[in-house]
Amino acid sequence: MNKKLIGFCLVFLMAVAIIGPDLIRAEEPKEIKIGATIALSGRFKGLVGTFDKLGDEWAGLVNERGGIYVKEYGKKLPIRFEVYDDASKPENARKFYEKMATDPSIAFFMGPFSSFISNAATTVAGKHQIPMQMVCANDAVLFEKPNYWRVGSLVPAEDEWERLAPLYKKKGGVKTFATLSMDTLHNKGATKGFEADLKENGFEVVYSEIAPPPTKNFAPMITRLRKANPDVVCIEALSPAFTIGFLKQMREAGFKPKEIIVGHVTKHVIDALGPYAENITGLAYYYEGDTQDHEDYLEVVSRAGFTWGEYMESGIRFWAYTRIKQTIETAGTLDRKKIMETMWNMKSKILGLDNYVTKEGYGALGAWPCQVQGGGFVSIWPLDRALKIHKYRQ
Amino acid sequence: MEIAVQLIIAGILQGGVYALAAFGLSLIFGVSDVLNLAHGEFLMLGGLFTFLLFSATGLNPFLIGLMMVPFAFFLGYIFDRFLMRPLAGKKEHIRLMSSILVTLGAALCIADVTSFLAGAEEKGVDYTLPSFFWGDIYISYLRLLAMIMIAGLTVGIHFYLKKTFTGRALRATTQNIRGAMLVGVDTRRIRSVTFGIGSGLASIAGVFYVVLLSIAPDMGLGVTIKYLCIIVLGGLGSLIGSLVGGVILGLTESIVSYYSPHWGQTAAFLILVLILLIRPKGLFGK
Repeated sequence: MNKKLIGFCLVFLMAVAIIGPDLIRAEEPKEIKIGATIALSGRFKGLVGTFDKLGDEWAGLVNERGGIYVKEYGKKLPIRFEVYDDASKPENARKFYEKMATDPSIAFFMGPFSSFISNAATTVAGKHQIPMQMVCANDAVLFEKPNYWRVGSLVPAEDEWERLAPLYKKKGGVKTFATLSMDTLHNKGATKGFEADLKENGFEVVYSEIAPPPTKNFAPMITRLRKANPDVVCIEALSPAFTIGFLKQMREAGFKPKEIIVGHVTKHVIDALGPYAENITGLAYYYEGDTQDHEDYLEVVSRAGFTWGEYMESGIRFWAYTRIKQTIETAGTLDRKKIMETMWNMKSKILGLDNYVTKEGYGALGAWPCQVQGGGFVSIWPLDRALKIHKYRQ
Repeated sequence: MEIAVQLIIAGILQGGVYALAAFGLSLIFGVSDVLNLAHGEFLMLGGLFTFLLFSATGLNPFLIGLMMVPFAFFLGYIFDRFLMRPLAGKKEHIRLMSSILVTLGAALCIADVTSFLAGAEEKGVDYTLPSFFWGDIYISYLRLLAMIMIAGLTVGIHFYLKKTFTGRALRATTQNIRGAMLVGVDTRRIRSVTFGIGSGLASIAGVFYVVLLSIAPDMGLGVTIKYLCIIVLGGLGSLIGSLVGGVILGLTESIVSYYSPHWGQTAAFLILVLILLIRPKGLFGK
């Protein structure tokens, strides 16, 4: 009896040894699936546009080239996004990320739009230990509490505008600034950093105000603004409705500063303001270049049906997609722990720029000044790559 | 002194814009005893069609707005005919509750369908009129136009209610529905007409909205709640109350926001609570 049992065990072990690798191979994923939510409706829609399509087009481009090479499996795997509309609400994002966390075929999470919603999403990534590459989220609150399972794409919000003050210092002609920011973490952080930059560069901030997101009546703020009479008016708001409302009312009031800076310029802001949008200065997470990444980015946005200038946040998306691809290629596996380790330690180039993550988890992507000229949003900085020269409004 | 004058002018003109939108809501409640939570959606649709036609033709947005009034009227009429009329025979409290639920559902549905068909992004019309300047004080002609329009509408609707058969039938329906029916008024049709007028007014307010600010499919419920507060403040069903309520809200927001934008809306709603504590039926409520 014992001999029969030993014999059975030996045969079983031999069988496992022979067909085992095939069994393992049978469990190889057929694709790399990335789970994400995007604000395809709600108050951030105006900034997000059709970024779901952008992701699909990027995946399409990568898949046309065979997919992403995973060393562990010795071959390239196609990549695919699973995207849900969080309607610009953190509770929806949390619900969808929780749902996706139950799917073992999800290799990665990609973060939602804004720090506000990412704050909810990162807790799911941490809880289920699923790597998350955050996208449009860079506020301190996300990085103050330790969470190994998320990393960012962007520099801190306070540093996002750091290239603007040097532009005005170099150009001259303006001395006083006024800022109005919508009351959100990101807008306040970016404005605070900008005001500090201005003071460091010898400029004076003569008016600074924060207004709640539903504000529709800007006349009282504009009355104060006119009294302060700044050379430059800067408005930082995640909601295009806020920006459009303020600027239309400033036009009604006949107040004509020498320069207007808008933190989030999109196609809809330009369209709603018409010729008044001309020479509005803003920022984008991209400037012209001649690397393969530049070529790919322009190809992907073109396939998605817009230009990079129409949705300036698309640059961050491309950065995050490329980081995910590089991470998988560098890690050579889809093992979540190894992936996360690679996400923290990887150093590479994206769009010709240094790509790394700081010890807190911030990314390395910053923003560069652009300006509305001829109805389009074009690069004006750095000067050696600028498509147009910066102009004041008058 | 100049600042105070400027804030008062800005507040009154802002109040005019608020009142214009609240007017139709008040009229519908006055006649039908229903709270139309889809009112903001009609405003949004007015703004959206103005945007689409303005983009396609370049016509003056206010001319487009006037051309759209019959369509908005028709939309409101069929809205009442198919969604509200089945509720008309219910007991008063059931009718009110049902109307809230039905119009809330309709509001969400209109927002989603619009978002799907026209995109969820903000849309604004680039149109302006030069403002009038007197020293440091300015008066926005666009907002003045809204104020003139609301004043004109108040007078116009007052005469319509007093002098025309439909207007008198409408008042009769408001005062005593059974009595109106006894004297041969088709109260169901009158309600539908009222919904049509209310939608037309919302659509005109939408034109001002898309010109002065911007519109988005999900904006409806937010603005409806604000306008509900205005008509509650002025007295439910009172047209002059909507105008006064809108101006009080606009003035309070304007003056308080000058010192702290965060407290502007809070102060306006505190005033609403205070007035309701003193006069629970609102300023002009009966």
